[in-house]
Order: sequence, then structure tokens, then C-alpha cells
Amino acid sequence: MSLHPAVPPAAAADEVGSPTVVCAFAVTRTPPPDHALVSATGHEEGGPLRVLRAGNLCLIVQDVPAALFDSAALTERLNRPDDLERCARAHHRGVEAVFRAGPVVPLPMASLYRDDHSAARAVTAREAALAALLDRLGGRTEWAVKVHAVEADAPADDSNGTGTGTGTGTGGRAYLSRASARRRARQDAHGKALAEAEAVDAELRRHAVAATRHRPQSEQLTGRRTPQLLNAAYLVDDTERPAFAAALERVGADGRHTTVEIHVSGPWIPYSFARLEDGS
Amino acid sequence: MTAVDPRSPGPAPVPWGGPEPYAPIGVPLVDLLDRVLATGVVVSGDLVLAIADVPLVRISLHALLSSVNERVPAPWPDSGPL
Repeated sequence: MSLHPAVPPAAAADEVGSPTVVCAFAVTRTPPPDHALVSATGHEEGGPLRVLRAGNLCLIVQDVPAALFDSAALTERLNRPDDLERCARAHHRGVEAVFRAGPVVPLPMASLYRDDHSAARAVTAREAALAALLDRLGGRTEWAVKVHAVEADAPADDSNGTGTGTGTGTGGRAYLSRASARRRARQDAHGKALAEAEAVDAELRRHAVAATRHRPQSEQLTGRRTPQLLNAAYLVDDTERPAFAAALERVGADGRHTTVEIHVSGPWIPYSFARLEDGS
Repeated sequence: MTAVDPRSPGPAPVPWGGPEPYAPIGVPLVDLLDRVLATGVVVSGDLVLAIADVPLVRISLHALLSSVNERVPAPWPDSGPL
């Protein structure tokens, strides 16, 4: 059934002049038309995107220079922020080009194979599981929701030099009392914000097929002074999207959750839900 | 529906109801990396399949941290140890 395994890999490499490997972006049943692939750019260093048949499924792949994509070169390049970003965006462009034509299972960034044959074989070996996953992801998109604690009002902090705690004097005991009161207040605020983040999650989950969490992004990454409490992704059926949006409106409404800020982006290709049941 | 913090770095959250971008033109890099590095079905090949491995993700996050540090000055006065 596979069309390409007959192509000798050595011949394919010779044609290009320098050795190439095959970078795979996504698995689909509905390959995009040629013109859509031609107009999409994968990795800038590689050739055009193309369709590789693998049993009843298709892989969208690109030939990329082996010298830039071997393990050492890749590691080095991904250590450079600019290259990391270019690589991530290139991967996203490739997956996106496929998604416009129908459901996709995105592969991890830089899934590389020696040649078409081994790429197709890897997919056909898991054809049933991948087909089931395509069914699960079809007609659904991902929504990213991040919840942060609101920043405390600085004036309130400044004013509690005498305002909180049981001691108002100037002695060591009074100082310790005020310090522990401030610590308790911070802990209380954090606990309350965490509870609100959980409540937001619970409400959104009701309108999602599935939910998952990414590791909260550090304050260095978010550029905020307050912690990220929730970095969640929701798989939302297209028919449920209005209900999900309404739920977002509700949880974000003024006065509803006063200790957190909610940030939403989407729709995303359902990257976060492209997982096989066996965990691979 | 979302509280947009004008101080937060990067592009604004993707607006609702746009023409299905799938998405995110100008999507925040950190959110993209959350997805392309940590997700996806690993269909093992015979060559390299390194990105999903923990060590490489750690490398990448390190790179990303450097990137953020260079491009986005910390929003508070004494930026502390980054």
C-alpha cells in the first residue's frame, strides 16, 4: 500500500546533491492539495513539503539537510534562541498547512527519519492507534488558558508597617508579629488564588472533551511578578465552542474571580492532545 | 472576557472570532514551545528523535530563558536574578 518504500533512499539523496533526511510534521487522512503544500514553507533550509503515503494514512514530510539536522547539529542549533524559535515556527507552519485540509496528528518538532521508507514504516506500525486519534481530534480544537495571581497592591503592603499584626510597637516582638502576619496574609492570598484557578479549571472542563495541563511557566518567562497558577489546555468540540466561550466569559466576568487574571488563546491545532493511549 | 495585562510581554492574546487562524499569528513563543516541544505523538524512527527527550527540552527552555532575558526587559525596576 505504501507508495514510496520502493524509492531507494540513496538515490533520493544523490539527486539533491547533499545527504538529506526526512523531517515529518504530521499524520493525516486528508492530505492538502499540492498548491497548499507548495505555498507553505517548512524549515527554511529544506525542500518543499510533500505527501508520503503510509498505509491508509499520509505523512507530511520535508527533505532537510542531514548536516543541519543530525543530533549534534540540532542540539547546538536549538541552544540558540533565534534558531529555536525559527524551528518551532517552521514546525507550526508545516502542521498548520496540513490542518487546513482536515484533522491532523501533529508529531513532535523535528521528528526525523533516514528516508521515506522508515518514516512510512513507523506510521504504518501504529496505523490503528493513529487512525483512532485522528477520529478523536477531528472537529475539535484546543484552547489555551493561563491563570495568574493578580498583583497585590503595593500601597497596601507599604501601609501595613503598623496596620497588621498584633503588635504596634517598635520592639523585636512587635516586628516579628507584623512579619508573620504579612506572611500569613501572603499565604492566604496565594491559597485563595489557587482555589480560584481550580474553580476556573473546573468550570471550563465541563465544556471540554478533555483537558490537560502544561507545567506553569516561570515568572521569568511570563514577565510577571506573580506566579502562574494554571497553564491548561482544553480540547473543545466545534459544536461546544459557543458554550466554552460563554464559560470563559463567565469566569472572566468582573467580580467573579478577584484574585486571578485569565488569559486565553485559541483556537489551536490540538497539539496538547496528540497522545496515544499507551503513552507513547 | 480576558483581563489583558498591558505589562505582559509579547503579543496580545489572540482575539476571538477571527478567521480561524489555527492559530495564532504572532502567537507567544512560550505557548508555542509548550506545545511543539512537549506534545505530539512520538512515532519512533530509526534516526533521530530527540526533541521529546527531557534533556533536550531542558536545553531548549534554557535557550528560551536566555531569549526572554535578552528581548524582554524585566518589568520591575531591580530585575533580580534571572
